[in-house]
Amino acid sequence: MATFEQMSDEDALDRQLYESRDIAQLLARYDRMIHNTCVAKLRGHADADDVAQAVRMRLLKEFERGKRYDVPYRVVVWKVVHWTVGGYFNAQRIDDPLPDDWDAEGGRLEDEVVTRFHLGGLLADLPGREREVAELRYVRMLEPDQIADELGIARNNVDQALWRANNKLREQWDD
Amino acid sequence: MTERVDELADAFIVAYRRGEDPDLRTYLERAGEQRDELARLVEVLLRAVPPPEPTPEALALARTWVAEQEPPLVALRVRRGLKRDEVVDALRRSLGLGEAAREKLQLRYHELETGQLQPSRVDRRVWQALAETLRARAEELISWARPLTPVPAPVMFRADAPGGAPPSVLESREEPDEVDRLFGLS
Repeated sequence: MATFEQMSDEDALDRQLYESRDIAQLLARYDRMIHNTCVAKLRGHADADDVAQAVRMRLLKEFERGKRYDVPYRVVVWKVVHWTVGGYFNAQRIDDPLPDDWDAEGGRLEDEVVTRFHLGGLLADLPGREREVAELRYVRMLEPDQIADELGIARNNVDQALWRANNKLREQWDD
Repeated sequence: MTERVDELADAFIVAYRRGEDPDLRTYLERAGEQRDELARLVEVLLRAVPPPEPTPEALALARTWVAEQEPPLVALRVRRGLKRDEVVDALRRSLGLGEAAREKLQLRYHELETGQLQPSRVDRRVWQALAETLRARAEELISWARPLTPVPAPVMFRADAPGGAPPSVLESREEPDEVDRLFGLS
C-alpha cells in the first residue's frame, strides 16, 4: 500500500462526509489532530484546550455557513488551526466566527496543497529510502524491525533513514 | 540530543496513529530543554500523516456535541470573558483548597465543564462556588452541565487506550483525594 494512494482515499472520504453533511464524523476524525496541533503550537500551555475548542467551533460554523472548498478538508482544518492560534497569540478574540475571506488571507488554499500539504510535497525531495521508511513507520505504523524485514535492510539503516526523514521534515516547519 | 527528540516524536506519532491518544504534554515535559524542537517536529508530523480513526464512542460524543453546539458551561464561561485558569483559581479559593490541589482541580473542572462528570454527584459547594464565579444560579448550572452521551471511560473525543483509560496530564492516584470527592468521584 502506497502512502499517496491512502492519502487520496482519506481525502475522498472527507469529501464524501462533507457532501453528505456529516460534519460530526469529520470533526471526530480530526479532533485529535486539532487538539495535538494546538498543544504543540502552544507548547503544552493550558490554553491549548480552549484554542482547540475554538477551532472546532469555527469549523462547525464554517460548515453551517455553507462554505465549500476545492481542497482536501485536512487543508481547511490546518488553516483554521493556524488562523485561530495566530489570533490567540495576537490577543484577538478566538471565539468569534472567521471572517468571510479568511481562506484567501496569505494565499489561496490551493497553494497550500501544492506547497505544504500533500505528503509527496513534504517528502518529495527525499531519496526513495527515506520516503519509503517514513511511510512504513508513520502511515502503516510498522515497527522498525518490521520495516527492516520488509525492505530487506539492516535495522540500523532504518533508524538512519528515519533520522534523515525527520531532519527533512524539520525544514518544513513554519510558524 | 537531536536523536532523543526523534525518539519522542516517533513514539508519539506512532501511538497517535494507532488511536492510543498519547498525551503530548507529557512528551513535551520529557523533552526538557528540547521541548520547542519536539513540538515543531510533532506539528509537522501531525500535518503529514492521516489522523487516527475515531472510536464509536468518540463519534457518538461528536454527534451530540454538534447537536448541542458546545458544552454549555464552556459557553457561559466564554460569555463571562473568563479563562479556565481564572475559574479554577476562584474555585480553589472558594473551596479552601491548597495550592497543591490546583492541578487536580484543573483537571476535574475541565471534566465537569466538558460534560464528562455526573452533575448530581458533584458536591453542592462546588456548584455554589462556580455559580458565584460565573454569576449564575447553582440550579441552572447543574442543569446546563448535563453529561454528554455516557461512555465507559471519562473522555471526550478520545480513543480508548488499550488496557484502560488514556493518560492524564496529572499523575493518577489510586485513592480519591479531596478534589475527587468534591467532584463526585470517590
